[in-house]
Amino acid sequence: MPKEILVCKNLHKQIGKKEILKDVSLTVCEGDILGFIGPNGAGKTTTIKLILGLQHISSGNVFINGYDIQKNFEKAIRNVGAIVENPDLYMYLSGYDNLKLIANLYKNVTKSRIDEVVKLVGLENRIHDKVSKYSLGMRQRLGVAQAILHKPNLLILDEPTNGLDPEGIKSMRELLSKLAREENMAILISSHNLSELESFCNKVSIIKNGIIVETSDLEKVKKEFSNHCYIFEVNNLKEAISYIGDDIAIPLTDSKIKVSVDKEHVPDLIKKLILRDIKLYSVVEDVSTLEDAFLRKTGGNIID
Amino acid sequence: MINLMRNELIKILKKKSTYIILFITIGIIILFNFMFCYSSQSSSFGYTDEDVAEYEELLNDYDVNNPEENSIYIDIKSKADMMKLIVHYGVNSWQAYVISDISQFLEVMNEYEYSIDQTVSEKEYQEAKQNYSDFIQKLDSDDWQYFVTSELEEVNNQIALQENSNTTDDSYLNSLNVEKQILEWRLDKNISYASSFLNDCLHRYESNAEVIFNYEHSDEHDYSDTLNYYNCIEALNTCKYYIENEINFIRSNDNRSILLELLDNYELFILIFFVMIAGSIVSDEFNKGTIKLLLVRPYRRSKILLSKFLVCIISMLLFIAIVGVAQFIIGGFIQGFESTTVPAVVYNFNTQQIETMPIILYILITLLAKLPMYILLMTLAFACSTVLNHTAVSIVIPLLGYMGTSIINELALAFDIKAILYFVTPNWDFTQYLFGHIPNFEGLQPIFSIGICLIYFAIMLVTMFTVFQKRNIKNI
Repeated sequence: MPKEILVCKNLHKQIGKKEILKDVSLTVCEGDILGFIGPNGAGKTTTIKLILGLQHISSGNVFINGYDIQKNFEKAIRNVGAIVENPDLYMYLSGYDNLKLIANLYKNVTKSRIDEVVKLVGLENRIHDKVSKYSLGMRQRLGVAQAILHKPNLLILDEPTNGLDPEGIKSMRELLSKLAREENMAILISSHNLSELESFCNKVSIIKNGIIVETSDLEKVKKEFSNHCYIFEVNNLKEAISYIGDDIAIPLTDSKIKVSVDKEHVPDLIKKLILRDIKLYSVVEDVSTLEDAFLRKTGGNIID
Repeated sequence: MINLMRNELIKILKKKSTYIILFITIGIIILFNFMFCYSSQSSSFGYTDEDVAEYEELLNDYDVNNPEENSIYIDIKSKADMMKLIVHYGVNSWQAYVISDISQFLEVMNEYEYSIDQTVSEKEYQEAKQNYSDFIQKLDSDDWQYFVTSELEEVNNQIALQENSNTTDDSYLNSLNVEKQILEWRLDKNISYASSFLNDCLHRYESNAEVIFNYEHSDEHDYSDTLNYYNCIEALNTCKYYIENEINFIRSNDNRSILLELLDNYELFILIFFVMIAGSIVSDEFNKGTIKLLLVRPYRRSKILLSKFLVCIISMLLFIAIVGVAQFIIGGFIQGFESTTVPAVVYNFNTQQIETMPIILYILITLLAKLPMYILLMTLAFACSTVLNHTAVSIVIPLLGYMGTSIINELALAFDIKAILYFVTPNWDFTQYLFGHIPNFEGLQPIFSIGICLIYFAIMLVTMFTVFQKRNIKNI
């Protein structure tokens, strides 16, 4: 059983009469990367702010490394690194000065650690420029740098891939995977863009209207929402459909058919088509993406 | 805590606005010194050569031979001649001060020369002409002591006359005695009528002595008279000190006097600086979202706020120090350093004696007395910044408060509102209590003022700390 780093228990947040979060519970263990997924306005950022003590918790508890954030703030927050919303940095300072300000607030951050982190996020060439001259992507990297500077064991990132180009997203993914693997960090990462999370998260929590609707391993979620579909590429679409049966086959394009069928029955279908002299070019499994599961789970998020 | 404060200081030092204000202030200091350097030579006779030429041109408009215009012509001619003489000796010379006696001779001479009626006889003319040239000779010989001596003689005669008469006019006798004292000083300390710092001191001594005498010999006076009386005593004694010790300055607004009044001269800039710092230090972080960077660190919120507050005070003191040093150096280069070797001179009402102290000590004492006001205004800016989260408003409110102070105090005095004593504005300036001086409002006590200032301070502190502790960080 890996060590639990972050435990949220039955978090409630009420602003006025409106309940923004209802009974949100989360657990992140060391080495875990938890994808915290939900549409806009579902309560992702609010949850993160409650965890970090930036907002008052109406009821429930947040424990970080065993310390209650409400009662023992200084100890609880000590080993946390975070980016909330945008990577808000001091624009009139250089990237290096920004990191130095943060480093001043911790005992164990040396100059060489700053250089190390700068190298890690790939900002060596521009670190002495003013942040106001940075692109959004560079600011994201600097945001990550300030979050991991003091070697926290819990990293909380609120939409860290916002504004990054595909290459930036890829290197961010690699960096986070490396941190989780090598430094055994627990990472909570929120996003509304799922395709970028599915490749490196090992757990997901889906939030909708302030309620957690699903928490489990990524593979399990994928499996659960897998709908056993195969795509056949043929030369004669109409004939093929008539042999397979139009109750399970749906034409996708001029030459592709989506067929709902169990895995065991696929060879039979292939045999059938070949015997009828239909040219079969390819058969692939239609992999259920996290996106589909997500859309199904969160469909109808009401922003009120 | 020290780390937090160091970070806040770094942030302030790296901000552009800090340097903009600093440069503007230094520019103002330079202009201020130049202004006093080149505009201080003002005199009661503001004549120039052009004025004389203009007056003489005016003469052409009148016809000497016209009976109706004849007397006007003579009048203008006499005046023009006077002005010519004053300009000749220089408007700031001692001659200009005593020359008015010559006008009677000039008038007689002109009357004789130009008048159609021939009211002046040949004999009178010759006499006037003789007197005139004698007078001019004395002026040319630079013998101002002659005029002092003859004035002194006159005054002594008057005193003797007054003392022997049955109906002695105390006020007149007093002014004669003051006059005598001044004339004796002139001879003794070698102070001519020419415009100079010590000459000004003599004049100030005279006018203050009169106010003091009048106050002491009248039974009815309200508080503002008493206040004025105290100010006059102070002015009189400092003037006396300068005269007796023969401390002369090239001009009255030199480097030393600007330094002594440092906080008054540059108060607005000091105020703008620290209000700008305090008004933005919290709200800027909220508006830019950087407060989140700070609040997820292992420090309690109260510590974060306190460190910001302390840094505001530190940066204010730093700024005042910079302004002081800048004035000393810039003023020194523009106006000379020699005046700053003279110590500050204050009149202590408690011991009723003149005290001298180093200029730096005097500045520090006044700073200490002004500090409650500065800190209260800064706290107001800081509290607005914390509670309202609006930088512009947080900067404007304390500035308006500062500007409104004099209006509030004046109104309260005019309508005699006693409740104003419980308001902070009459209390926060402790320079009014310095060296035993009486306060600007009747009935104020230093202890009472300290209490009032502390109450206002505490209210603002409690409000801002409570709000900051409870604040939810909203989405930005």
